[in-house]
This record gives sequence, C-alpha cells and structure tokens, in this order.
Amino acid sequence: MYSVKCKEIIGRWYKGKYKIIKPIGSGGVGEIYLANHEHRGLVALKVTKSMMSITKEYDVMKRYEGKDYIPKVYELDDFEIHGEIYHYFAMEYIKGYNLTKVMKDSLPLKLKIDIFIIILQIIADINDEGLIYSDLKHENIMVDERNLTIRLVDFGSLTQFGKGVKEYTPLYDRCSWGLGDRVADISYQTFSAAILLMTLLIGRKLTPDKDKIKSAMDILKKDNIPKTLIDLIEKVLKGDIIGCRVFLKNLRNIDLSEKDKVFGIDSWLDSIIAILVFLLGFMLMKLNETSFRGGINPR
Amino acid sequence: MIQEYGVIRQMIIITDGRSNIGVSPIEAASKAKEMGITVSAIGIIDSEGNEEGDVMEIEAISKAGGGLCDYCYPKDLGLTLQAMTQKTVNHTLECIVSKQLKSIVGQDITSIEPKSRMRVVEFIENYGERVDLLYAIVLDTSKSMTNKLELAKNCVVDLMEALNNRKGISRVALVSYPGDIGSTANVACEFTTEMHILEKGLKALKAYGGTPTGPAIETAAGLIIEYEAPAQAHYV
Ligand SMILES: Nc1ncnc2c1ncn2[C@@H]1O[C@H](COP(=O)(O)OP(=O)(O)OP(=O)(O)O)[C@@H](O)[C@H]1O
Repeated sequence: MYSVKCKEIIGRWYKGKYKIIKPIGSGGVGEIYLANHEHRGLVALKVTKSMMSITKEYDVMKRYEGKDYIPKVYELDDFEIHGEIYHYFAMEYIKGYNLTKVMKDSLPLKLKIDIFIIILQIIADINDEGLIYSDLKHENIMVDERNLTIRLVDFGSLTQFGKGVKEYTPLYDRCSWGLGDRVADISYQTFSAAILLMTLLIGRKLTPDKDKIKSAMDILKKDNIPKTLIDLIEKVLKGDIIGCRVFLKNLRNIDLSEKDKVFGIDSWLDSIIAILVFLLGFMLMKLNETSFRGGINPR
Repeated sequence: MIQEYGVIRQMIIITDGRSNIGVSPIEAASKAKEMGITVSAIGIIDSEGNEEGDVMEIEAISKAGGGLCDYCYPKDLGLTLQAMTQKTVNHTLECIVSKQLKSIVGQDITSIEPKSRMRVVEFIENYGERVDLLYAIVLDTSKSMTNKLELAKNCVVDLMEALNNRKGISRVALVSYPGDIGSTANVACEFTTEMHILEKGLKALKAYGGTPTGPAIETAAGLIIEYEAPAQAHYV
C-alpha cells in the first residue's frame, strides 16, 4: 500500500539524504514516513505525487513557521524511483499519539476539557489569521510526548474565510449533519470544534446522518456530563454561539466541579489525580513501548 | 480566442465491478484521451470484497485516459467523488500548464526549483476556479449496484452543488450503463448547469443488467465532443 519501498532517498534539488525507517501514517494527500536524515536525525517525510497540494501545504507551514503548534518544516524537494517523480517535504517528527487515543481513554472530564481548551486556543489563533482549519479532527491533532504539548499536523485544509471548503471529514462537517453549508466561515469552524469536544467527551465517534444531532445530545446526557456543558455544546452546534474565542470564554465559565461536589471530592485534588492518571498512562505506554522494542519479557 | 479561460473536458467513471460487454474500456479510454478528454475512475469497494481484476481494470482505465483513480467504501463515495473532481481538474491543468511551459521555456513544472513552484501553483488554482468545465459522469447501473444506486445518485447531486460554487461554468452530463433494452449505454442527462434537469435524469435510473464499461466511455466521449462542436468558435 505504501509507495516508497526503497531504503534511502536523496532529494533531487537540495540533496537531502534520508534513510526510510517506516511508514507512520497516510491520508487523502499522501503518506508519512519516519526517516533518518544524515545531520538532523529523525524527521517525518510527507510524500505524494500531487505537486499542487504538497507545495501549498509546505508554503503555509513555512509562512507560519514561528507558531509552536506547527511542526518545524525543512525542505520541499522531489525524488525519483523507477522513473516516477514523487514530491516530499521533511518536517519535525512528533513523537506521541493523536487525539483518538485521548478520546478513547477514560480520562477525567476536567482533563479532557483542559486539553480541548488548548486546542480551541490554537484554532482561534489560526482563525485570527483569516484562515479556517477545515479538516479539524482527532487524527490531525497530536499530543507531543516530549513536553506534553498539542501539535497540529496536516495543514492542507487551511482555507481562507469565505471560500468553499474542499477538505473535510463528514463527522465534523456541518453540511453532512444537515446544519449549514460547506463554506469556510467562523461558524463552520466553531461547529467542527464542538463536534470534536462532543466526541472527546463521549469517547467515540458518530456517523453524521445516522445519529442526528438530537440523538448525539442524548448520548451526552446519558454520560453524566454536566448540563451546563451540554447546553453550551448544543448552542454552538445550533450556531447560537459563534467564534472559538466566545466558545472558549463560555467554556471557562462552566463550573466543572458541580458534579464532583456531590461525591465530596475537592476539585484541586481532582485535578492532581487527573494529572497523575494522565502521566501514569503515559509512563505505562512508554514502558510498553520499550519492552516491546527490546523484546524484554516482563515475567 | 473569445473566451478568456478555456474549457476542460473530463469524464469520471463510477463503478463497482469489471466490464463484461463490448469494447475494452481501456481502449475506449485511450481513444477519449486522444480527443483531449481526461478519463478518471472511482471503484466502489464491496463489503464482500472485490476481485483483484476489478482494481486492475480501474487503474488501467485511468492510466489510459490520462486521469486519476481511487477506491472507496460506499459511505465515502460523496467525499471521494468531490475530492477526485477537484484533483483531476487540477491535474489536467497541471498537464496543460506544464506543456505550455515546456513550449515557452523548454521545461515543465518539475524542472522549476521547488522553492519557486508556489507561484505556478497559485496560478493553476485560480485558473482552475475560473475555467469552464464539461464533466460527464459515467455511472454504472448494473445489477450489482442495486443497493448503492440511491447513494450514488445523492453523491452526484452533491457534486453538482459543489461544482456550481465555482466561478467558471460547470456543465454536467450523465451517462448510465447498461442502457435501455438492448443498448449498452444511456444518456440519462445531456450537458446542463441546471440541478433539476440532472435530478430528473437521476430519478429515472434503475439498476439491472451487465457492465458494458467500454461502450459507455465511447458514448460519453461522443457526447463531450458533440457538445463542443457548435461552440467551436469560443475555444482556442
Ligand atoms: N510530523 C509528524 N510526526 C509524526 N506523525 C505524523 C506527522 N505528520 C503526520 N503524522 C501522522 O501521519 C498521519 C497522516 O498525516 P496527514 O494527516 O498529514 O496526512 P494526509 O495525507 O494529509 O491526510 P488527510 O488529509 O487525509 O488528513 C497523521 O494522522 C499522524 O498520525
């Protein structure tokens, strides 16, 4: 399935030399490989045959290079195997996992909200540039293990305000839910963010036309999510709250401890436990990884 | 050269199987390409699993037709169709621009340094938004499509909606295959910009019979070429 089968590639223009280690992901545009650069060490290579999309993506990533949620990009170049020309760019390899894992893990509500708030701030920052990140989804948001920061991958979907949305995933797309058109505007973005939060909270994905919004809201209710939070999500989905910063402000005003008080747990203790649980999960994962790699039998 | 932006001629085949009647679809696609039409294909993957031959045929058709090919599960058809349309339009333009560059400066896009490509890419994108489009959808309505036909119809409607958002004029035609009793392909809808006309054509479609992909490609190619004839004066 992956098209790059050779062990080493050399850029046609800038002569970057990469040893391909393994494929790490693929999508609509191309394939991502983990590779070793002779000087820079580990990098991620995005490889495709589509010159237009990769050139555009490289261009925006380079333009907003200073932003810390964007992986550092190196060069855009071509290489040739068996007479076929491929285009690629090299970027910082993000060691970590994407938000799908966070969604599936049963983390405390407060922690999920805290993570979501960081994502919302990033999206708001992108929107401030007059751009919509139309393909917002769990797979494109990564948790960087080294410093537990949030990083975005896949900048192919950045669209200027007012233009038609061309890259999207039905789950996060208001048009697929029958709740609006497919135009890059602030409300399109806020809608996708609300879906992201909703799926993060219920811990699984939904299918737009099958689970209509109402049944999605019912699932939230069953999950013991605070009513104020459900109301907020519903308002955003209906378009009553527009803009990531407004969403953010409303989210911050919600008292998440209201439910916990019933159980008599102080909210500060709750946060500490939450962080502990998160770190523990993270350490366990690391442990698994090393034992897996080294083939050490724990017993 | 009356019209500032030209027209590009595309055909897309949506199928879930392998052709089994009439001329080879690969030959038909290659003839269409010679006429200046780009032929692309989408294969719908069945839950029961398609045979390898199906996949190979789609790849061969799009290769012969100078287009692209992709596969998807029925639920992703809408998204794939739209993404594919945008990609093939850009792909065709990329080829045209590349050819022109070659005749002007003796090199194609890939011989421009990657650093400087963005300007060409922006140009192609803008052009792609404005160029007129003749787009023939060649839809497999053979028996195996029974459960997927309604879905495919919706996807075609969605595509037309998306195309209508472009700045250039998009004319869509629909060829279904097999055709009415005895014939291999049916023109379900002539080139139109009107959604209701396309919807009327779609409504009449029913799934039955075999899979004459080759003859359907010929019919669609004929439709595209004929449509252009009266408007000849407008084109380069
Ligand atoms: N810099 C990176 N470091 C580590 N992993 C990465 C990096 N970039 C991408 N990935 C992984 O590869 C996957 C696919 O990447 P990406 O989304 O950029 O591809 P794509 O072809 O643009 O996909 P699509 O457009 O369908 O979302 C991501 O989900 C992520 O897991």
